[in-house]
Amino acid sequence: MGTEIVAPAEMLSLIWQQMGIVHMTWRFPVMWVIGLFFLYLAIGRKCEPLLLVPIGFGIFLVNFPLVPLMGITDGRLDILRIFYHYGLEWEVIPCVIFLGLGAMTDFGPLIGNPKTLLVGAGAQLGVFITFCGSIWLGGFTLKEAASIGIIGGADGPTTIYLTQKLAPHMLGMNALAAYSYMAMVPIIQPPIMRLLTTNHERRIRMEDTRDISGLEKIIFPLIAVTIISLLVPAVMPLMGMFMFGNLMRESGAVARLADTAENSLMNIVTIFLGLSVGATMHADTFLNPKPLLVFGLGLVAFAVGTAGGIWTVQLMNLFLRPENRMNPLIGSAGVSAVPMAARVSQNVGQEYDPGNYLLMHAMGPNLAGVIGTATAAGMLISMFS
Amino acid sequence: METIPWSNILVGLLIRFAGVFLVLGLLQAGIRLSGAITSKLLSARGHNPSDH
Repeated sequence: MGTEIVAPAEMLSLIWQQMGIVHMTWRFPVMWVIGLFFLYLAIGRKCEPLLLVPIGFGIFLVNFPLVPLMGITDGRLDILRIFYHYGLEWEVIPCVIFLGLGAMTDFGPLIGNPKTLLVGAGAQLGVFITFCGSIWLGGFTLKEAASIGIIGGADGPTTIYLTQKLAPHMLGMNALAAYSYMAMVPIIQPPIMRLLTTNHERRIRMEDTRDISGLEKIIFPLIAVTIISLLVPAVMPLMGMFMFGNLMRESGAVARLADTAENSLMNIVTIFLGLSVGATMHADTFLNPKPLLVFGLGLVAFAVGTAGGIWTVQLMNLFLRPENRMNPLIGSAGVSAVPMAARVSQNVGQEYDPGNYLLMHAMGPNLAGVIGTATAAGMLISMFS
Repeated sequence: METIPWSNILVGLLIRFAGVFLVLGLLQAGIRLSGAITSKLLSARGHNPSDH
């Protein structure tokens, strides 16, 4: 049966060697601290807990010696490696997440104020600036630089999708950076928003948007699919699912399917996504200068993207009639991070004018940011295909 | 050491950044057009958009 009888001393030695504690190095406890930090952010600070709990626990879980979770044991993929392989490497999870996001998204604020789409485009500035910065400062290849730049869009699924296509070896660190910055939107964005706007600008009150008919909401995903398919086909796996989810929601004809997409299905893939992303952060791969550089450049991308959205609003205001001017604080929501970035616009706005309700106005650029980041990703993917 | 073709990269990125504005700008035009058409359709049928 392949079992050999060995001397007790040798047996004890074998058992000892198979214990994780023998193979402990200083790197593992460092990773525990990082994992626990994410758990603290999620549980203690309530920052994106749905993602950071599985990510943080995934980091903690895989950073013990000899655990058969993320490798290949006896020729078969370990459990978390299966989630990672079929979920992320096959690009299933990002697309399913977009399906769920579409099913939970009300595009009313965007349809009611379509000029905010341009704010979502302007907020992609960080993606392109950081692309250059990654080559210049970090010595990354063009494809790696593109995958780092897209972190500035603050859109996890899009970051995963693009990175898997262009620089799959950077998937773990890029995804972690993107989700970390999405979680830290309330910390990172307000100082930039205050720095780039005047007291007068922060108090601008915007007019209510017009009423949107149900028919317009049904037509919107069809228009979006047509335009994006014709111009940026590379990103249609994401956008197609996003718009399909939204059509299910707005049509009202398939309420059960929409409900499944936005609740059960979304929750299931979120578990697999979080654990898989966390599990890629093994001590051997994470504790070197490169991931730290990715985190630094990702922060630059995110900050420049925030600024890009604000500057776009300020630029547009130069050409708008006074009654149509937008509050530049909604520009920061042009990075994706739905709906956290829109909430930040609302909170910062109310610090200066408690009666000013910017949330619904900020949802326009926020949703435009999702489409903008996906479009930017499609542009970058097509650059290398 | 390989020289990075910065001018090509920058022009390429600038065009793509402009491309993002083009795509979202066209989407904006599409929304406005569909809004105009649907409001005419609905008003012809005597509906108020806020009824939906």
